[in-house]
Amino acid sequence: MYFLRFVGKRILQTVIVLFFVSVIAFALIRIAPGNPATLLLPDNATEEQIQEKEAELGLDKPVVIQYLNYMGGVLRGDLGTSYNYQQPVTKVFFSRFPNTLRLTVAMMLICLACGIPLGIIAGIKQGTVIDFVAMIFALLGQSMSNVWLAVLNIYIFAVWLGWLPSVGVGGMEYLILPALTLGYPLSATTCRLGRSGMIDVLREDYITCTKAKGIPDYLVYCKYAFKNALIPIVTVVGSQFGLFLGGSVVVETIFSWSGIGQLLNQAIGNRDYELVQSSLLLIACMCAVVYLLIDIINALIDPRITLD
Amino acid sequence: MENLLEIKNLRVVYKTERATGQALNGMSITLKPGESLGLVGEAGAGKTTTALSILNLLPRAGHILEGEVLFHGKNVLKMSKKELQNMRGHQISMIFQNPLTSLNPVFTVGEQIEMVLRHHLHMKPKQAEERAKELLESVGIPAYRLHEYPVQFSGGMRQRVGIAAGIACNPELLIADEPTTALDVTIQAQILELMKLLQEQHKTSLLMITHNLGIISELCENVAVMYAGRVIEYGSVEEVFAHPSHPYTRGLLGALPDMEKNQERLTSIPGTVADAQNLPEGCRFHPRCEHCMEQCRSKQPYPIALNHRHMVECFMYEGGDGQ
Amino acid sequence: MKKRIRQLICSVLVLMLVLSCAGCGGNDSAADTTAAAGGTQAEEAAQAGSDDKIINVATSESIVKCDPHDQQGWPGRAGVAMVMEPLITTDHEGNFFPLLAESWDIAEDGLEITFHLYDGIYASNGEVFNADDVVATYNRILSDNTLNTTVNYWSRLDTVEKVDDLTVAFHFTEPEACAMDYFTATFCFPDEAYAEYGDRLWLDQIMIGTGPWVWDEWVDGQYLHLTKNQDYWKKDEYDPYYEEFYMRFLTEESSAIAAQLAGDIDAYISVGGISKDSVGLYEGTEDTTEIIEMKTSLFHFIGFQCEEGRVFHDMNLRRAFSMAFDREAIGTSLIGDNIEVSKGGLSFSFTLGYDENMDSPYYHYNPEEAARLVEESGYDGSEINFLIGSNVPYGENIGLLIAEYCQAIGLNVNTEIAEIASFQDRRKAGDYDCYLTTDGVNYGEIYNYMKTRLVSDIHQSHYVNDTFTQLVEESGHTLDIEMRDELYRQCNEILAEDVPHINLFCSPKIYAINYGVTGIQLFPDGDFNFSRIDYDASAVK
Repeated sequence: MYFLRFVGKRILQTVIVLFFVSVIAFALIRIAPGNPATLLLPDNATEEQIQEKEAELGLDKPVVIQYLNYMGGVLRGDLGTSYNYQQPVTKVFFSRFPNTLRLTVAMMLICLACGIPLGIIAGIKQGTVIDFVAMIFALLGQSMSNVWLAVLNIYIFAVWLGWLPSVGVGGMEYLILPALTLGYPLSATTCRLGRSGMIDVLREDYITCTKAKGIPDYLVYCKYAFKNALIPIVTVVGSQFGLFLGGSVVVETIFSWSGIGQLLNQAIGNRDYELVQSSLLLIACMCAVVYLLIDIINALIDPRITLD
Repeated sequence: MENLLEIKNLRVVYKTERATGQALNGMSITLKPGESLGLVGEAGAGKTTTALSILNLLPRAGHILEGEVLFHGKNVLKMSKKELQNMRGHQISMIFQNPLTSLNPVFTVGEQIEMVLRHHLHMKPKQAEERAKELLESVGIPAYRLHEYPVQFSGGMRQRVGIAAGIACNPELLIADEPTTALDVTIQAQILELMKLLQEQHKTSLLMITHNLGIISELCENVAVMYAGRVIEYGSVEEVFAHPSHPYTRGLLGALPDMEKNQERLTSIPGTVADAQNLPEGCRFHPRCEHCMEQCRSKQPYPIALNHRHMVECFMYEGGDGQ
Repeated sequence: MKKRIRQLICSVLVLMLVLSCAGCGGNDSAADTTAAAGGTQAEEAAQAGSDDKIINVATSESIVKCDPHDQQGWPGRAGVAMVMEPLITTDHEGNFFPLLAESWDIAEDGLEITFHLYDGIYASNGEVFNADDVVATYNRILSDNTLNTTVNYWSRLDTVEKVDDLTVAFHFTEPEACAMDYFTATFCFPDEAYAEYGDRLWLDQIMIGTGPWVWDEWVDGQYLHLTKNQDYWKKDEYDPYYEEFYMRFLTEESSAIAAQLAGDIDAYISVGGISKDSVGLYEGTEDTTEIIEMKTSLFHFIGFQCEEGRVFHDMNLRRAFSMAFDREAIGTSLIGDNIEVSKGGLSFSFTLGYDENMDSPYYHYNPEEAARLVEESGYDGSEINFLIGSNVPYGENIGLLIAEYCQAIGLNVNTEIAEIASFQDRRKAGDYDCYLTTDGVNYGEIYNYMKTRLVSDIHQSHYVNDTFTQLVEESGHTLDIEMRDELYRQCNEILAEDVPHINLFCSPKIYAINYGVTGIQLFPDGDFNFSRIDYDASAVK
């Protein structure tokens, strides 16, 4: 009962947030200097040609009218037409979105598979060689710039060793390098979180109490301590997932992994208003869903959240 | 009757980067089956350390320098992991001091009781659930609350859950580490009632750790008074309370407000409790003792039997002299 | 009860995670079914490399749409050109060659141009291609004033008329000086296909044409995939070894080079050329990859704000600025030895109006004279805003060097790098003292440049010179190449004197093509064409 009420409240909050996002996205892209009509025409277009283009794009109407038209369309399911692509925004966006989704999920899996176990083990075996190794791993991951890591990966694995293809979208072998580039720094963060979380949890009274009940170590760590240590991890990693659903411009550009990060970046440079507004709205929507899921997961792990 | 539990000359230190704290300095007690022993002392005397040492559950910073803890004649400190895990929660159970932090917040109270049932008594989940419900009822918590979380319970009720988990496997020895300190007086009374009842029903040995003398007199047969990591006075509750011998014990008992007398001020023991990181030479109590003699400053007092039910560690009683 | 709900939600979440993992194995797409097919093909293609009959060419810009008449960038045009053909082709130096048209006649007054088509042309779907198709193509262009092709090329085209099955006549309202060039960049589609599909011909990527390649699919941000037209109407002239062609969009230069070094692509044709510093990455590949440096028409120029009350209203200050820095030194140090420095006006060895004797004193490096002019002018030392677009190759470095030179002669020049959109905005409003950008000269033609930037003054520079205006207008109407040459020569003389714009130098572009790959046409104006791409085993070292 509490649970459903909790979820309901969050959904309502999300809708309000999305409304604000639409207004802000709409306003921001228009505040930026530059005229999309000018950018669509060659460098030496005349004033008349520019104005004609503006009228064609609907930019000659007052801003408020433009917004209302746009929102009217959104509520009907029409997210506008991209100026550059001259295709519906949904078509352009969703032709690229699966790539970003795959990349983000792969990144998450790498993070979950490497970061969490390493962090938990480092926390349990604090002060030992494993802990030391894990900390080095985490330090490297957090200090490397992702540009450098991306280029390094390409040059080592694709050019020098030739094990993997260098750039482009495709199946598993194309996914590995970009996913690793994103996944490694995230694993590093997760490892640290897991480690410090675990150390904190293991200091708690209830862990001593559990041990005093004679519960074997593996259960104490992997079940009773782990669930508590998971709480900060879920929040951080989950929010990173939401963040990267918006695409990672750097990795997408370097690997030519055509995703929505690159799309949005180019759209902003081209002042493609409709594409930018609706992309931001869609990304906000997806982030909202992800954050809602995180909250639900958190509530499932830690019952105190719904009960408080 | 052989001793259920015997601690022999236990020395434990806590080592941190900054200093070393001498928590236990030659601690020795014995406990027979069915006996209830009270362990009294101020904060920092080493009571909880003793309890944890019995289970070999000292934190990372704790190191055992010498001594033995014998349970049924076997040295706990030398037991294998498996043996320890079998013993803990099964033959020896501990009830922790702070009910607000000793229950795992993300698991139901049922789970926290059932885990011992499943592990030690090898019960199936369904069985364990039924038994857990019974246990909850026996400590005065309605059975339907089995699936609720600790956050939904008050402090007193959480402590009861802790007790339920502690008695779940019918332990031979129950260590209660200040079980009512964090609770208010009325709840205290209830918990104590409960413990008395359980003790009578199951004939469990009880090691009651507390700084509350009233509880000792309610629940315990014998009492051991600790100061600076040693037992400085030991005897039956009647003996020790009627004839407190060690200056410290006297101070403790004197500090209790007397309902009968008209008192302006409570007797207090001068000075502050000994700092484990900086213990005085000789008798640890000597800086605060009004009867301090020359030898107290340099020599460690040894146990002197006053009679067959009373022991004290104080040079005042050397040579068999009385007061 | 509650526990059940929790367990249910937990299992749902786990299921969702597992399902999204499934997306990692294959290639899931939401809306575009074509994209799904692309995934596995990309895999196969990359594994192929040059052992197979698949050629991978990387470009630095993407294609955004498939409309043959609405392409803004070179890669798009190059892609379309492989599938749909223009009437004629050019070497971009003023010479024209037959493609769909066998021969042509240009009327004396320049108002009518007639083309005679080859007999026996057919499209990839077997449809016969003749005058009807040409008329349909150009009528479509004329009917839509928003298309790039229409706007850029055909503002003076009035009507297109079918004379007979193999003859088409074009009627102009005024003589269009660059008409022949424009014909080489306008691609024709078959009329029956257009009648059937309309705009869906490119919106749905059906793209039927007469070209030697067949459009398979374009995946946004990834690649364009073409397959060989097994039944090309000019098969006896061009029958490539390759069966499949991929144009891969790799916007990041270091990634593209890495891909070439790894063997994933066979040629890297960057629109802006490979930057000089990155060429070193190809070290060690001298046996497999050829580094080609092509002189192109890409030139840097600086425009001045000449409005009254502004710093550069004073012609002498403009001259001083122009003499303050050493064009050759800047160019060779940043770009290389193969630059061509301008001697005065928009005049390079391949442009119309080139005068080899041109030697404007204001284009010399003469800091003493420059300093003298500055002092005489009474310049008050106020800050001069030097606006530079962020997309200008070497723009920041050139700007900083020039600013340093200027400071040395007493001009307080302050560079400002602006994003493309802001740059265009500012320039359009005239909000600058001087700006640096680049342009290219297509087909050697400088008319567009002269007309729009200086006469029509789209950058609000407030420079007016009636003689100059007259000369430019006249050249727009003249079809006679020699006459235009003379007119532009005179224009440049004025430019070299008045210096409302100063030209710096013309840069080469660097491309990297693996040995064995032939038929990539690289033109001196920076344009390129892949439609005759082929493989020559003997050229492989």
